[in-house]
Amino acid sequence: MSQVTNQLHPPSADEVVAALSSLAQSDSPDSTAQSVVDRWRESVADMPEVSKAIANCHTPGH
Amino acid sequence: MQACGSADSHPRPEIELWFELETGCNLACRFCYNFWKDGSAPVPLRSATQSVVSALRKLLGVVRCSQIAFSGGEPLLRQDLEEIIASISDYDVPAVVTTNGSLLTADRIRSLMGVGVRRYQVALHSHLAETHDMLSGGASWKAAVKAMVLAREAGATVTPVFVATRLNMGHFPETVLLAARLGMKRVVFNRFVPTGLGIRNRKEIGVPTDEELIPVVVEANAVARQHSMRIELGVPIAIPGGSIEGLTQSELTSCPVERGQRRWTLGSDLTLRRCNQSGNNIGSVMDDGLRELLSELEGARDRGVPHHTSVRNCQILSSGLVAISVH
Repeated sequence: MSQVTNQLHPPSADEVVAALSSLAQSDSPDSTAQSVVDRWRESVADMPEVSKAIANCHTPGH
Repeated sequence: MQACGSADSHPRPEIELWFELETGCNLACRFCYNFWKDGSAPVPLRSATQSVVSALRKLLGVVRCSQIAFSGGEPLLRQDLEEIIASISDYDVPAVVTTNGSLLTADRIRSLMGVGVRRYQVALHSHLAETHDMLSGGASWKAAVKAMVLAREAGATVTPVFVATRLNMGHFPETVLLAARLGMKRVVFNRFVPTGLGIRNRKEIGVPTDEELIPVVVEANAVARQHSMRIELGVPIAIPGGSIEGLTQSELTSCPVERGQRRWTLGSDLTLRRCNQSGNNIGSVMDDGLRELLSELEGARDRGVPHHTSVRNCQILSSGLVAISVH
């Protein structure tokens, strides 16, 4: 994982894909790639997963 | 609001719909189950927008639908997908888009979000790009993973779907780990059922047996447990004795084909089918097929919902026949 990433902003989707590819192919820990994925996970951690409420809708008004 | 009708004095029967809206695809998965792809049947008619809308509204007017999965082929090839989904928004049926991910761009996600799509199923057949791309018949791993990242960033729920052949089944635990890294909570595991293009490629890619699949699921279950994930088995796997101790994260499933079944497939030609792996249909949703469906569902309600105490095998896998019939 040689890509330079901006530590101040969440990684781009392409950077996340590259990091996941690196992690998948590596037999040994890749701390740089893991860091990219971790920062991305933090950036989406608070995103609501609204579909569960929709999927469970069985009553009028929801 | 028309669908959530629990106050109905005579509630409509409930189904779950798998809608093969588009026959075309921009990939050529070696295991593709679309029944016409083995050359034994003509490609079903690809119905126009207004015909699709009329059919869906007719169907949703008489049944409750817990979910519609828009599939194909590749459903994102249809530029009218948003128009179709928007046209049934008053029924409040959750829509799932099942895609290979290659066309699921940020713009398309925004467009679909605009008509209420919050759920995606994206094909992911390995943690390794070369294996996924080989099985998919084209370079698509990076696009699929990127699509999952973008959909997740948009707040959608994404479920990877893994099809297990002999070539890639051993990659499933690592694929679950990849999904965990993306923060996903569920993964669908579909064993390869040789229909459609899969019939042609079955020797090359291999049809795993129950005995071969069980240790894969057990190993993946351990990964899923570590990350608080669930594994949904989309096609039955017969487990000796019906259960394995410690298989805590995996949901066994039964073949859904029977009288009164809840899961139905709607083809792009608007015919209703019991099984997405088979071309046999009960008729058009615009007339005879819908009558047959309602008659069967009403009869099932009178008799009670079928309840299985053990996994019923996939009829195609157990009989080796493509035909699906219910007597």
